[in-house]
Amino acid sequence: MKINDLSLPHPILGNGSDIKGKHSVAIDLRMEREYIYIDAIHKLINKSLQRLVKARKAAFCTHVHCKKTFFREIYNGHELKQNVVIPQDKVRDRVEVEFYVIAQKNINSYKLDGFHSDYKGIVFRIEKGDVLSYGGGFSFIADKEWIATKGISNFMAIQPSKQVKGGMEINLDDDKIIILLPEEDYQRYQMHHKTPTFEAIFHSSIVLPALIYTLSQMFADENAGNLKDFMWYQCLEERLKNDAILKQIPKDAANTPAIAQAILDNPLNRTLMAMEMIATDYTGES
Amino acid sequence: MPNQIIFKSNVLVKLVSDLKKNKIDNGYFGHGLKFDEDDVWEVPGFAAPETLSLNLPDGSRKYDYENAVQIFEAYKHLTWTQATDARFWTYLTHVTCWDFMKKRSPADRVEQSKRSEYILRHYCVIPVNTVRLLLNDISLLWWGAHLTYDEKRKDPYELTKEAFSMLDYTRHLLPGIQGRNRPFAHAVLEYVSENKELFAKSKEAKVRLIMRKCNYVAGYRVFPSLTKDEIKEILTKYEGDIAAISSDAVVAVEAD
Repeated sequence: MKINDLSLPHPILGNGSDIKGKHSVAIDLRMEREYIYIDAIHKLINKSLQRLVKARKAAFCTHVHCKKTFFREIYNGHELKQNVVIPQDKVRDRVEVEFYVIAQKNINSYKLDGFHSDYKGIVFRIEKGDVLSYGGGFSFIADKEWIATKGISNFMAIQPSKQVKGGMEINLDDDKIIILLPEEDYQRYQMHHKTPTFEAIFHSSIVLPALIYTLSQMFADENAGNLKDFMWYQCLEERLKNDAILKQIPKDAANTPAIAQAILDNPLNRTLMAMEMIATDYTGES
Repeated sequence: MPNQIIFKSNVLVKLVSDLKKNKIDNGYFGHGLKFDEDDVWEVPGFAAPETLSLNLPDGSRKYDYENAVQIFEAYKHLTWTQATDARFWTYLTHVTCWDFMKKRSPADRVEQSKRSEYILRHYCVIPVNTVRLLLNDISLLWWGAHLTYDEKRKDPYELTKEAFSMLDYTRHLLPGIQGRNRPFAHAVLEYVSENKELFAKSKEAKVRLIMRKCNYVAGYRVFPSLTKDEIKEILTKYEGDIAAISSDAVVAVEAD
């Protein structure tokens, strides 16, 4: 659960200016075949809260949940460093992680150094489990293929449609973006898709229009949320959020061609270079 | 034991795409859809039961609890990621458990304009999330049993029986963010089943009140940090409010 400008029954460090101080967490995430490892280092700047954790009346809490698999667990500790281990087979696609300091016992007269002056003279009653501090959160995709290569093929697949001839179709109702080619075209694609010189041509003619369409649907769907549970959506969202180049392009329908071309590393330029190479080989000129 | 058979991804894509375009195969109204061996694949290492025969619904009796136990026992070894595979559940609804599905959720039960959505809801899992896993008729049974199974009880399915006694549990408690934590789900189910007199009347309204109260508290308290008994103690504090409910009307939650 995120603590965000909510009206809460007691002050929480990290919620607006409730309490002077800071709680932040440095994260190292590692995914291996059987387990996911989250190494978290809490930085807590508030002496009263530090004392509560040391006295084991409060604890650092890492909260992990996955919307697809019913997985929801917490990992408590009293050291600044927390090592969390999550079995891979318990999570799938997006996993959300939040960091807190939570009460481990009831505290009848809760008062901290650094309370906002509005709370002067007031004490609060805290119960076990209450959030005392919010250290932020992050999310990741629990998918080994995606992490290993970050390639487009991990969330896009080309398959034959039932038509023999005709146009290409794009289907977004699956964890991968499915591009359906009529049988004749699919056979030709199968014959040539491993040829290195043709890779860029396929990117421009097949993948690029599919990605532009997908991005436009993604931005159109933002409020409806109908597509958010698909893995392709989560993978693209992560890329848009974390990639240094993509972060600089405004995320709206008008910029879908620019975003798609950035994801595919300027496929038109690579296509024209490939065509030049093919033409040169064909004419024998250099 | 034989290997489990599931649909290939492209079959699922076509199935869902057709349904979304309102192209409903006549098989849904008769003997089922036709698939051939190119549409499926056998998953090595994923064991299927020798037989699976569910109790067919009979009038208003759905036998959800009995069938949940059967499905869960047949597939007790499923990993959580296998149990979230739409290809697997869609194969069970369309092939293995077809006779059961035809009786439980016949496609012609609803008017024509709503049939596609009805089939997507009961026969498919699209997209995969906790809500959709508890709407598909077969994965509902498995997940409902899995989330409520407690091997420490004399009857490990005691809470499963409670969970299938009322729609609110599988629509709101189990797929909700709080219910995903097992001690919380077990605490609510146990509290209700231990207080039969309190919940004898207006049970739906009372359980909804508990859920709303808990959602309010969950805004500032991390429920997974509490034991099942500590959560039940919190529920006990709402006894007065619960007892005050005399009808199934929606009850507004006042802040404590």
